[in-house]
Amino acid sequence: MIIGAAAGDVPAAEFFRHVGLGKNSFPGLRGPLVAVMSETSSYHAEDGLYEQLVAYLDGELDAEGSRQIERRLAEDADFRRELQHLQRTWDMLDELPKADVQESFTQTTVELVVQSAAHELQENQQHERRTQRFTWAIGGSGVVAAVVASFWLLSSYLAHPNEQLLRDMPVIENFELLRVADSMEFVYQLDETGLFDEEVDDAL
Amino acid sequence: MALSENTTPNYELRDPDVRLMLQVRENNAAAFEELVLRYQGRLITVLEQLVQKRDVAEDLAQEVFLRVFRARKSYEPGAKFSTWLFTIANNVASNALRTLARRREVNLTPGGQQTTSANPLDQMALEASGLMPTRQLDRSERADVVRQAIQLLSERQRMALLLSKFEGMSYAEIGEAMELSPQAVKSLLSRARSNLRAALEPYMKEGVLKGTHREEA
Repeated sequence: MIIGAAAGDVPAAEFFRHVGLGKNSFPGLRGPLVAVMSETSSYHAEDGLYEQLVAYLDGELDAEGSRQIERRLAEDADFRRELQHLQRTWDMLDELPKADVQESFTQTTVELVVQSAAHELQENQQHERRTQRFTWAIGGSGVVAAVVASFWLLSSYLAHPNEQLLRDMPVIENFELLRVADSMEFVYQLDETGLFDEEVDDAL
Repeated sequence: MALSENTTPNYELRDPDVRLMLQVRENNAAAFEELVLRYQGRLITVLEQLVQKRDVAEDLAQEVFLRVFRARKSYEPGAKFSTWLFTIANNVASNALRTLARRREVNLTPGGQQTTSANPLDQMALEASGLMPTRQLDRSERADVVRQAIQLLSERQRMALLLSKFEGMSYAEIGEAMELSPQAVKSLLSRARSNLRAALEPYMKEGVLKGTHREEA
């Protein structure tokens, strides 16, 4: 509580400190302010009574809360006076002038927003373009990689279409001889001796 | 804030400004302009009382409208439009006040404080305690007194008070705009009104001041 439960100068000092004023600020105000604070503090002391009074003025109390405040108002002249003070202070806020806004303000504001929207659109387009470019780059790289791989595989196949046949040529040529061999192991041993190398080279 | 399925259509039905904002969400520029026209005066009135400078208040109001526009795509009608707008205004104003306070701290030089007589409320208080003949306060003087009294409130008290007075918001709506519980708003407004009453009490009796030397000061 700024204006606390205790009467006197201490709550007022808290209020001054709260609003950032030193002891010597507003010397003319300090006296009356302290007096008024002392006057109202008795209602602050009563459990939430001041809050209830303000809420009553603001139309924020339920039926039971309103009845309690009205009962107190009927019984307590000081409480009635406090309500009147609060109401008059509230009414004084009507003295504050309402802003008279010129047409240029509306125009400037709308222009500002249009600029912002244009900027936003530009950013979105840039972002979209960047995303598109990235997608194209990824897709393109994939396609290029696939083409290169296919080309390499195809070209390597096309460059030596009969490679396997040529490699097998010595076997084909010596098929009759090899047929009489006892085992494949024997044939491999012959191959390792380099017997067929010359014939393979000739075929390639 | 999570919204129940029941509240959303209610706001849309009850609040025409919510319907306008939903059109803004669909990029309707005319709807946005209509909202600016409806709220610019109210917004600047509140912001001017908060920051005390008309040009700053206008800049802040534009910032608020800009934020409204930028947030249009994610807008969901979970409250009255004015509550949503003043939630944004509260954030924008709080940031601006923090920045202004920092700047003021930097600019403050020792011994460079305002003299007490430069402050209208202080001046009038001094006059009230003097022995000069009384005179009726004119409207602009009364407005000055009220403005100065409002400046004595804390930033949050001021905001709550202005939303209550000028926007006619309920405690629940103020709570939504300021991210406080209704009970906290009740306490805040009670303190605000008590402080305001204390500050204005000496000057509102019969609307008179003692002395006529305001112009002389």
